[in-house]
Amino acid sequence: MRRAITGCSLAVAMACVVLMSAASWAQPQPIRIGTIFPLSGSLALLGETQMNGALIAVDVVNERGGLKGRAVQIVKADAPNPGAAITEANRLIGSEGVKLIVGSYASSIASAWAGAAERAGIIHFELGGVADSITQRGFKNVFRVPPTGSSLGFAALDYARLVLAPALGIPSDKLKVALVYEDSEFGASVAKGLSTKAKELGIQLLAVPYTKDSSDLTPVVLRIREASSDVLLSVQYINDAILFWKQARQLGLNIKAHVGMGAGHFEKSFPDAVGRDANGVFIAGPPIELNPAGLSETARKNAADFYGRYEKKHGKKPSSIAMMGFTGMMILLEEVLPATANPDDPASIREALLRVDKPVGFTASGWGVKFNPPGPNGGHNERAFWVIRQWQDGELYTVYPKQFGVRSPILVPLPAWDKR
Amino acid sequence: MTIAVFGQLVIAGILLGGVYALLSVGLTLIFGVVRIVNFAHGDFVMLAMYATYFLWVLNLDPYLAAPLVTAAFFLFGMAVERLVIRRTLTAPHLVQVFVTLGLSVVFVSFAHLAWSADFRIVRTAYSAAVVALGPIRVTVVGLVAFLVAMATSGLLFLFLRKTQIGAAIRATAQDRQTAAVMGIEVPRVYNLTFGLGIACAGLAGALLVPMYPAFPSVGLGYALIAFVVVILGGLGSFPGAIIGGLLVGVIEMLSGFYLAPSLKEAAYFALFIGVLVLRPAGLLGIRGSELTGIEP
Amino acid sequence: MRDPGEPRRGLGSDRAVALWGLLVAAVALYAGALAIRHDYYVDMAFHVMLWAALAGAWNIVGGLAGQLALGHAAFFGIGAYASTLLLVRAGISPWLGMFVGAAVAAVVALGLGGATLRLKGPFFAMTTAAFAELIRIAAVNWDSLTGGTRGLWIPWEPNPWHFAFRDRRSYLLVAVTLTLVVVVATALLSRGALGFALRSLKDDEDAARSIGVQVTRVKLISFVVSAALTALGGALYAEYLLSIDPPSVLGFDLSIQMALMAVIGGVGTLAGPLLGAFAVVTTSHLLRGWLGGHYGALHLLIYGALLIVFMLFLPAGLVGLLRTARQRLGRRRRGRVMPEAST
Repeated sequence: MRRAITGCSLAVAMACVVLMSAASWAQPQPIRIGTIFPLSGSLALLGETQMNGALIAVDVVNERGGLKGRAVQIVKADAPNPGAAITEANRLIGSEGVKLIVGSYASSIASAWAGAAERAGIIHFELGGVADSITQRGFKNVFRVPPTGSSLGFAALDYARLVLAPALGIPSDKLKVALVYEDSEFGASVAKGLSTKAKELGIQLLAVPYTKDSSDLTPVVLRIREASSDVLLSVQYINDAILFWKQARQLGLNIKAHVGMGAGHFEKSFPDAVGRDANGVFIAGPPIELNPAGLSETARKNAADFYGRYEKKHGKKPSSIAMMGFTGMMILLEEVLPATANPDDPASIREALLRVDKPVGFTASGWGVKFNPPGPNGGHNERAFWVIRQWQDGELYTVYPKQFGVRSPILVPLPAWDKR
Repeated sequence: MTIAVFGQLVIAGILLGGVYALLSVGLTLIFGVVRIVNFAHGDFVMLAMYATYFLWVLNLDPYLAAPLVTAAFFLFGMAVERLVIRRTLTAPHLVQVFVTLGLSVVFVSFAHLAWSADFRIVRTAYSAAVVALGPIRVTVVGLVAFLVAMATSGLLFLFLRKTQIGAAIRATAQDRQTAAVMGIEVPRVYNLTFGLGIACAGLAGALLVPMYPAFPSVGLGYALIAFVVVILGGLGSFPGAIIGGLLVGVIEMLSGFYLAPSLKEAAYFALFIGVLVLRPAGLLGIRGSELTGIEP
Repeated sequence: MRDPGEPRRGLGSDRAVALWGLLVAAVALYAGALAIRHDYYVDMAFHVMLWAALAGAWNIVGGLAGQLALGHAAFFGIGAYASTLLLVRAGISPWLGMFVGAAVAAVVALGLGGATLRLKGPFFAMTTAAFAELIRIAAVNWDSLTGGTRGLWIPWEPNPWHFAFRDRRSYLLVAVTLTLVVVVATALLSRGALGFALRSLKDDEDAARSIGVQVTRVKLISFVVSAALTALGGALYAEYLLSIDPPSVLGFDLSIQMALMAVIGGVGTLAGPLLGAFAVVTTSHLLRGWLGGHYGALHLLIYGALLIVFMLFLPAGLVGLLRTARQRLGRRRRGRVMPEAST
């Protein structure tokens, strides 16, 4: 008897499967896009954040009716390290049959699977890896939305010498700048660009690299304190940014302005941990919450959609890392794929990517879109830029460039620690 | 000014070293008695940091939570010993290494799954409080961590010297077979010792939380430092672990300032290799123990 | 330390059988490598063979000589950096560069081993681990040479002479060759007087010394050979990745992995590292592929739990398991021999 029941249910189940696959024949096949982000290991926190931002874009587009009636389907992969990135790229390409992969938050991950995509002739669409080298290797299938890491260093330095130095009443050739960075790949890339630029401009720069996993940063703080620098530029991750700023207060580091360029300063954990001491700290980083006046109609609508949906889905405000994921994915889904002759053909996607031409202010991040043609720095988006924001009473406000600014900078120079 | 800077670095190093010492005391106890190389030691610290954090979310001050966490980790340590470690006691070193590494992987990925990779921050009224000793400024939380760590190590030392259980533990550390012949219940001693070692890790975690955020991979760095300290100070030596901890803390601070902050690890690893090559028993270890190694 | 995987028969005792076994294994591996068409499985097979070679190289010092080295990432990284630097900075082919890397690693191992090989058990393990960390920190800080944490990338133009192949199976074939080289090296080292010295050293160092075995020399030989072979693996991996940075070729986890796979397979045996690499690589790749994007770190949790359970219940590794199975089988059906046992 039991056997008969088992047999019956098996038959029913098989019938269901057959029916369901028949039903899926009737509907148009979804467009499958692979994603590669670090979702476990030490890069997981922000890797996942960026992926979540990109997935909001997928939700938005699918609810708006997909791409010419075809739903967008995401095939996720976890790449905690470069070796895994290659393996997972091969899995997505070989076993899942995707023709287009997006990623990767971290540059070391992006660099590794860029090679795998290039070999297979698959499109690598980069949403977050900013190392300059990603688009300098002559790969013809790599396209990158955000600006480079070294240009982040330029942006911070320019803000220091063009805006902060005059506000502090110091001639820019007399400005003493300290650069503190955790010596991971991201920090080193930014620092490299920044140091080169400072040398060109004749600006005195004290560079202090350190390792991220330090339980005490007294030596770093003291080095800057003893050099009595005016402006501090930093690239720090979350735990070290918190520790550094706590110890800066403890040891009486009286810097006149601080521009952070790493995730440590633009995540909400920073004011959560240091409280009012966060006030007045600038950050240079990816744009979010820009002044709508500087944005296109589409960008305003998409941005509002993104903020609402992200908060609803994840219970917290999106960070700029998530915004990078969203913006890049929206460019892909709204501007590139609809313009292709065949969205399942890499050559066709490539052509469409090279044709996109949108002005600054067009996307929710304010970025325009124009990918360099193959050649030096091919596939790099020339119209992306970094913005300067500032912590004011526990919230970040965009202050620079002017057309996207929502508030004016305050607390320049930084007052005593108990007056912030 | 330079004297003040030097003083600040040394004091900061000693305070940091206090926490390292507490970590290492727990590790050296397990290492010296149970003869297990516990690669998951730092991850016990991580779990304790989370425990303290969640108690703080329930409005319990970290310093009030510390005794609770310590007691809980004592029991947790005994449970882990009973369920996992005991089964490896007669296995080769390699197997022990990979069992504790497996524990480490399980703890880290469990923390990641259960509590996400977010940084958990405890913020109390005294988080930012600073005590000034002339030009030298130390945080209250750093000072408390140091004092509690030192007091605990001292108490543990007295416990081993002055009590009957302590004597049993020391006897087992010296010779497992003879201890068994003398009527000491060796498995119970192991169970207790492992619990004590993990309780130290738990206390260290509770003391660290007001200073440092909790996240899944926070323990990995502490494990490595604790190993360096334990072998530097001399295997199984209590005073060695404490002096080694302070030494590593001070070296970390001084080399960070005078050499380069990115070379601080290089400084203590170089010292570590140097000591082992020149005086293989560690600074305060028993001469010859490195040659006999730790036989199961 | 008990030796769970001591070969039941010395290899030298039946050289013809050993040679034939090797030949058959080689032909099978090459044919198998060429038969895989799917890139994902080519990649998986490449990782299996690379790790088989690395675990095998580690096994020479960790298994044959019984010295618990946990710093082989240093030699791996030296191979990766040497071949990549020579290619990127001087245009020298990695075919040559990998041997330069191996030579550098051998010299470094000679120095390190000379200073530390008298240390035992955990002491030797931690010293080698600390040394590998020093090399990693050097690579991070010597920016002008190594590019620091930004790392180095290899321009990709398919050119077999520059070790850049369009077809991934070519990398796989090189990895198979490396594994075979490691197997042959292991077999040669465990023969004759040296093999006897290694076995006696591993069983009881003091006893070995008392019967006239030059303990330090024997340990050094195994350490140096092991380091050089590991460096070859590092060079191969760098060419496969096309970009290297300190964490990916000098990380502590690499040192752990090499030892881990040898232990899972069966320490001190010829087939152990290959079996261990196969088990660990396929498990972790498949777990990550199935669960990776969806359940965060669940694949790691399962992996860690499997590791503990495996270590608790099969401390002699897969070879030990097969051996027990064969003994049980052999009791019932005499004469049938498993291929693993013939190596």
